[in-house]
Amino acid sequence: MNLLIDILKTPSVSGYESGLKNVILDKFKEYGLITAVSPLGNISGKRMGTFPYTILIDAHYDQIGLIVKKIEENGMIRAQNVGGVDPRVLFNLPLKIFGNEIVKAVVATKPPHLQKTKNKNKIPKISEFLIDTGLSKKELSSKIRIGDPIFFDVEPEIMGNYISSPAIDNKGGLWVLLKLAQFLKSYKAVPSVILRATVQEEVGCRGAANRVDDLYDLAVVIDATFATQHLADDDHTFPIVGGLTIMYGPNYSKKINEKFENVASNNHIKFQREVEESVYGTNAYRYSVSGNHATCGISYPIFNMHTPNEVVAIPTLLSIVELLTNFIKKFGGNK
Amino acid sequence: MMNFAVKLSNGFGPSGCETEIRELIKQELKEYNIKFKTTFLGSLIATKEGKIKDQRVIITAHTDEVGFIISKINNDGTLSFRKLGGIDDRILPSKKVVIGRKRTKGIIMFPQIHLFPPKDIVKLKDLRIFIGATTMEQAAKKVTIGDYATFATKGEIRNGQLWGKALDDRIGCFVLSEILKKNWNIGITGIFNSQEEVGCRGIKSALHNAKGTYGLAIEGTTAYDIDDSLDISPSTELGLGPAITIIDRMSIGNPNMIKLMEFAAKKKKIPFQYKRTATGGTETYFLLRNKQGLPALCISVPVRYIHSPLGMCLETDVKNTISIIEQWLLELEKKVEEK
Repeated sequence: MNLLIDILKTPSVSGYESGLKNVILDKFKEYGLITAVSPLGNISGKRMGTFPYTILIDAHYDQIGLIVKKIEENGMIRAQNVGGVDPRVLFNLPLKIFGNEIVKAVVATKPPHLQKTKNKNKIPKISEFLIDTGLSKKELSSKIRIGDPIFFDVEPEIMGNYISSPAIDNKGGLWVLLKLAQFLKSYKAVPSVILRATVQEEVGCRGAANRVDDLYDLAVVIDATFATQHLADDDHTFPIVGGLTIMYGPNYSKKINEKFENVASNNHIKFQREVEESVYGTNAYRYSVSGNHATCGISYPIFNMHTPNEVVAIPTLLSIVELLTNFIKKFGGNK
Repeated sequence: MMNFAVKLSNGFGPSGCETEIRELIKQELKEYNIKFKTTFLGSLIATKEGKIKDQRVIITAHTDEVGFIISKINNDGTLSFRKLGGIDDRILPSKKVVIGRKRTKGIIMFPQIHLFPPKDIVKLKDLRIFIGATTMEQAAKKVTIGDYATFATKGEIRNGQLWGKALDDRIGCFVLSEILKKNWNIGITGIFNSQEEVGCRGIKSALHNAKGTYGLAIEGTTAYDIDDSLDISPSTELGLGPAITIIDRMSIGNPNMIKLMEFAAKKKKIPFQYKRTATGGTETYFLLRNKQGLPALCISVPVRYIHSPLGMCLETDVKNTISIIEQWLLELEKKVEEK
């Protein structure tokens, strides 16, 4: 649990993932994996097996955020989004700017007393928001520069079986990856397993396109999906209590999915089927066309995706670990 | 010194549920020879005797903050809620709140951008609070309908600035507490009012229980001094000192009292400014028009982003507000003794 909170608190806006990179690399090394880092920042940890079959498991570890675009004369900052940031969740949001030092800030909002009626329902563009650090341009000059990344300054919160935080998408997936690394340490593997934490998914799955790994026979992509909630309850959302989802659609292998479902049923792991007709939703589309191998997707439903308070059911994340460890074990080998 | 201000800001006190704030203030002032009385509506009346027997200043600040009340527990375990006081609906999505006696943590949910087109603005009736429950039964163990709620914000001092929620008007409560800690020749009745944000209700009932000859209201007021494409003027600006209200939507400050305040400030070279918007109303109205009708005025600490989860004011403005009121009281005492 502490590890999950640690990685949630370590910022990794797309393109600025380096802070988290070392955390992952250290864990992979700690668990005895053969590591490799790609120029973009993808981190691979490989466990050699005895059987000629290689499973690659991918989770992106970047998160959405903002970057400093302009510092106004009065010290107010204007920002640009990195990834799908919704301006509707920015009002009065606490932020942390990572410059030469960490500078706390808040998105300025006009109190209702001073608003004109005609502007009361207006949602500004992201560049129209002002970000207030409480400091003047002069005071800021030694602290931050244009291009510095900005994160949502919101602490993770455990609520029973649930945890809320920015970037649950996809640090939940990253946590699964690190748990698998721990499992692989004590597992005499039959198939080879490559764990791969990738960058820049939120800006167009760029990291996963950056291929440096050995060949593999199966790629499994772990990512977040939409949980059913008020105002978002169509056929593309999944009950948060319904367990992990197994992805179906052009990207995904029906044959392997069948195996996953068997493993899930035999181990009493709750799952639901998710249809992704658009092939561009996750890193899976990069893998499915990048070589001659099968691709699968396992997702976990989260509330409030791409807001500062995404929510996941912790048991669902643990069930993905269970599913994948049992899947790997099915190939044989011992513990 | 400002630690108590942070404590007040962090306190739980949406309109109608101010007990925690009252207790904080009573605790802070217990060694200062003050008599306390609490009204049915939840205002705390703090009486301090002076040598001057027939004259008394009523100073008010309000303990409540804008917040929420839980109106329904839904089948999926989420909560529907109503607002208490003036809050811009647009600031609500994805904010953390704290609910009820158990101080249950919750999150105001917001559907993901992918499924809820950006042109749509979510309406209050469609906002739900998630508290870690997924059925009505689970939720009912943690909260009940009628529970009060407020933003879950932890305040702090940094760079000589106080960042936190509810500075309208916990900062006024802080200033009033500091005034009450000192000894004065003139009698002082401090009223820490409840329910200001829902129509100045606390003071209406409290003034039936308090007598005075002069009145002063202390507020945390709007300061939108950051943008030059303004709807209307910035109202007040940080760093220019306490703001004197000459006129607002509900009241006109007593000109003699305003003159005395300006005189006090100039004598001690305390910076001050005038509030430049006439929007909003304060408890001054009720000081001016209650039974006797007191000569009264309003002085405010400029605060950025009031009525939202995270606002900010300057330590220097707060200290200057205390100084200007102290000097005003000294001048008032002189004036009374001369009579």
